[in-house]
Amino acid sequence: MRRAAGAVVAAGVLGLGCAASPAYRAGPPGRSATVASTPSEPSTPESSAGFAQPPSMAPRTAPVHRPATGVDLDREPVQPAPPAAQPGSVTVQSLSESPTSSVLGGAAVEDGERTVREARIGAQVQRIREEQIRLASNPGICHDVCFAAGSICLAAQEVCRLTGDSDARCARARGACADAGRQRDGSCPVCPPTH
Amino acid sequence: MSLRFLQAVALGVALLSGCASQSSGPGEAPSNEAVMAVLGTVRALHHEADVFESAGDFERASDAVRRILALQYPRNMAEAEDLRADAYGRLAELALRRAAPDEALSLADTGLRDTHRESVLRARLMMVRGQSLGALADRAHAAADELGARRLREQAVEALEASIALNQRLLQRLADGGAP
Repeated sequence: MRRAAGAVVAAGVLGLGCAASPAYRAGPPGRSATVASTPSEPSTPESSAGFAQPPSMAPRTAPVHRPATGVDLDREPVQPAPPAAQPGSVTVQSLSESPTSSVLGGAAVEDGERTVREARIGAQVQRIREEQIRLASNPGICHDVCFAAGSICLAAQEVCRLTGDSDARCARARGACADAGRQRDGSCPVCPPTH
Repeated sequence: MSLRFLQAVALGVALLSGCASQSSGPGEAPSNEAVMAVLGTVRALHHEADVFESAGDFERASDAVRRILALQYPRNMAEAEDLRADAYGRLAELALRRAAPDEALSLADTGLRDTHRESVLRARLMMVRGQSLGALADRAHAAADELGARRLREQAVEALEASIALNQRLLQRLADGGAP
């Protein structure tokens, strides 16, 4: 209990120092909201010459007060999984309830296959959302994910400045930045506030 | 909660006066209050640095962060290494913003020697090291020292790539459900 409390507070305190870092403020491309502990900070260097940003790079929004859970209020709220969201049961139920299930012929088979496919995709999406909620509800993890991803992109930017855009090392660093951004987006719906 | 925080701050003052090392014996974990006190003090000092940094006073912001490094941490406090790594990283970044890449490099190297756990904080120190070397390369280039500039640039890129690689490993660990 003591260790857990200490760890939680430590994460928050470390967040303060990290939040002041350009790595956390900047974040990889595509971030909608991060916390800036120094509002007067000049714009992040991501847009500087020599480091082309992916099209998804959007200007940072102003710091937003958010609940400690790190849930993005701007996003569509994620609904909890319905009881029938399990892949197997959804598939069977969807098939049995399909209005075309009693129709013989190719069209009915196609409808059935589509239903199964959609149910499977729905279940996958649900699993991803649940994973996102799990990670977002742990500010410590998402803080590290956001900080690591931001650091990678900041380092990549500096690599490209030093080597030149056409250098293979720059290309590799940019690739790492893009991968980190995707990984972050897949893991954490929003970077948690640090204070 | 606020009462607990006030207690923590009060104890932090006691710790600052040098009582910390007496709070626990060898191998014994420090008390909850001692840990909370240190964390509260560190938090306050980071806030103080925020205020000065946002006003563009990097010198006084650095002073606040240096006080974090000067704190006497309770013996066996697991968080101490991370707190120091965080402070070294911020201090080095502040030195860079003061256009003092030599100092930033020295701070980053000290922080790297002081921290051993693979963490985002260690990766950040590597990155600041790379940024510092990059700034020194720029300085050498401006002084027409092309050989020195090339050597520093190479070292900078190596440090930055090491930082990227470490962060990639950490991200992978997090994605696998483990601690970073």
